[in-house]
Amino acid sequence: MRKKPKPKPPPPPTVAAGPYLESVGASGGPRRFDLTPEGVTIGRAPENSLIVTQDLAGWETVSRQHARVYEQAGRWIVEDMNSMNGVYVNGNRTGRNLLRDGWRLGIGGVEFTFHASPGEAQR
Amino acid sequence: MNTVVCPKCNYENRENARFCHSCGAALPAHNPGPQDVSQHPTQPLTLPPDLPSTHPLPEATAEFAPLPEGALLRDGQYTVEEIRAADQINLYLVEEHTPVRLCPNCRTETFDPQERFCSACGADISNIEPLHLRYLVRESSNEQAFAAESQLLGMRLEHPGLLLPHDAFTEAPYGPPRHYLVEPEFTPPVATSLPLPQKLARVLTWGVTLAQTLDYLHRHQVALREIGLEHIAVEGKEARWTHLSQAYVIPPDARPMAVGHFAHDVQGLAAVLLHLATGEQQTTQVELPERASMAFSQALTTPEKITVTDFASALEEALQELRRPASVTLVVGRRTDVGQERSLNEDSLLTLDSTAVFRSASTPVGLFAVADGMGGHEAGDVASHGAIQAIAQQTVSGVLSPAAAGKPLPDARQWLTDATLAANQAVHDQRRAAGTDMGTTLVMALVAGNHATLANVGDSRAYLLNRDSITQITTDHSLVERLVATGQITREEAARHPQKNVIYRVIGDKAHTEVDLFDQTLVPGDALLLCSDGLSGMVTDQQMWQIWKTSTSPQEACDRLVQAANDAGGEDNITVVIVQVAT
Repeated sequence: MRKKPKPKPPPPPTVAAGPYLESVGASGGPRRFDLTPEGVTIGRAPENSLIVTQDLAGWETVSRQHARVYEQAGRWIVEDMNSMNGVYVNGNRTGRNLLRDGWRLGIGGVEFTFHASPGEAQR
Repeated sequence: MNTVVCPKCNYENRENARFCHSCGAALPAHNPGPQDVSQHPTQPLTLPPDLPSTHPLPEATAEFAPLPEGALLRDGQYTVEEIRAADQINLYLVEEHTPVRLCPNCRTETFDPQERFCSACGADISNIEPLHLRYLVRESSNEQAFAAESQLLGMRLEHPGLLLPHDAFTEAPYGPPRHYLVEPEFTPPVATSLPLPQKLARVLTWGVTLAQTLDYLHRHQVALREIGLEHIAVEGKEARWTHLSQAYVIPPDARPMAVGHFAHDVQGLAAVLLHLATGEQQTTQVELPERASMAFSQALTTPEKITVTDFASALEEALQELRRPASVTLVVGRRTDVGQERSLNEDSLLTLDSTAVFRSASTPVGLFAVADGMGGHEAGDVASHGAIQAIAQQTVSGVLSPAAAGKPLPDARQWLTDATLAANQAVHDQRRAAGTDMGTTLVMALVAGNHATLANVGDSRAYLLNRDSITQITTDHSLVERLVATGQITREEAARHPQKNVIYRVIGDKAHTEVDLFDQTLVPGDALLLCSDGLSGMVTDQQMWQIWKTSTSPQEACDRLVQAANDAGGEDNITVVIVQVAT
């Protein structure tokens, strides 16, 4: 028997503060980059959604298309996009890795800290 | 908000949903990748000419090093939770991403969250909590490291005597590809951890399984090549081949060589079994039963002349030979008498035994019991009869019926406890219905082969008699026994104590009762004697032993013991059962 489609579930309450990356060695203090679930690409090329520019220390070691950060089934994931200098989580090189609150993320020589949104369950 | 429309019922599901919330149908896979991440789509995507090339990071290297916590393997299926070891081979503890429900009945894994029933056995798993399984993952840059095990996994080999890894795969997180082997977090111990020597019967049992499994592998053209204690996982009676990194799948053009490989395997298995059974490397150094010795020496000296199937049969025959002498024959005597002073015999007894003889091996199963209804209380005969009747029913359904069907017997201690509680319940119910204070003692022995397990409530007794001595197995739940135990009177005073009939634990007295349990291994020549205090209170232990020793049969001993109690006064009902292991 075909069931009647149920009414749409109500949209989840919008959380003002979503997850974000915070740059560690930026001139003029830490900078904050908001993350969206559909993904953020990181690199020096202007088509990236997070463009690494000269004000971030170590910017010259970042590839044009370096990495992407996205959400999948409730988990935040970083993935190396064949970069030259690699992606690091808490100082160790990795290919595809979970990000958990407070973990350090190295994009080549540029350091970020990952902050999960306050509303999300912390692992 | 983005939604995923169900192709079956058109229900709009939340983004990332894997199954339809309305009808449960599988939804099209969600693409995790960023579709269009450009925040300014109108902006030209050409690189500005002044973008310099990437500088190399001095410390960046693609060399083999352990991955960090949180690393995702096999397309995100496994998440690294812990780095256990880092060397030539890195060892990780990982968690499987897809939650799984384990069947409570058969342990089969079900990954589909919508499935209500176990696919293997049909058990209802709808209420089982899903869990994330953990595994140990080995990682190596050497392509040969797990090649053999991957190949065996790829062949989908399945045999109860084979313990293969869970999974194997190759992936390149960064740099050159890495090779992975996935094993359960907890694996059974391998034979290197066993103390040597092991019991021959146990080793032969393992040997039969391992030889049969080896035959299965040889039929699939798999030779093990290297056989040692570290390749055998053992759990009780079970043995399985494991850690087969040296296994060799013989390619078609090398088939002529197969015979040599297989003979080498048979020899290796024989050597490792012999080592387990003796702690030695050569047959000549240790005395083994004839058939076991023959099986080993043939496999060790001329393995090319026998197949692994021949070796399995030889081990099985050696096992049969070993089991044969464990045959036991029981001879039973029984007698009950009202005594000289009472008008009513309130004692009851039970002897129920069956003996199956197969291939000249005799394995008896029996239940022997004595119950002494409360002297002076009303309806003591009803109580002892009720208890014995309950025990008889329990014995037929719980012991004799499975024995007749060739099924395994229940755990003796648990069964005796349950049977005693059932007897207690029966008498307690009668007592409440009749409104009296009836009760009874109960001592019983469950004998299976050469092992007896005994249960006791009250002051009826069980003794072990042999050529040299008589030993009381049970402890009386009597007031005087307590006084002796606490040092207030001597054992001699206890025998004449005015309150020697007062007992503090009785069947039927309360809704629940405590049961004392005892284990006794019997050898030929041993006898168990169960009796009411009409015997043990009238005749000393030494006298009982003398009468038993000078009797020609257990029945004659029972008759003479009752006579001796009557001669000494016969103050109470006298009941005795003797179960003797024939020599």
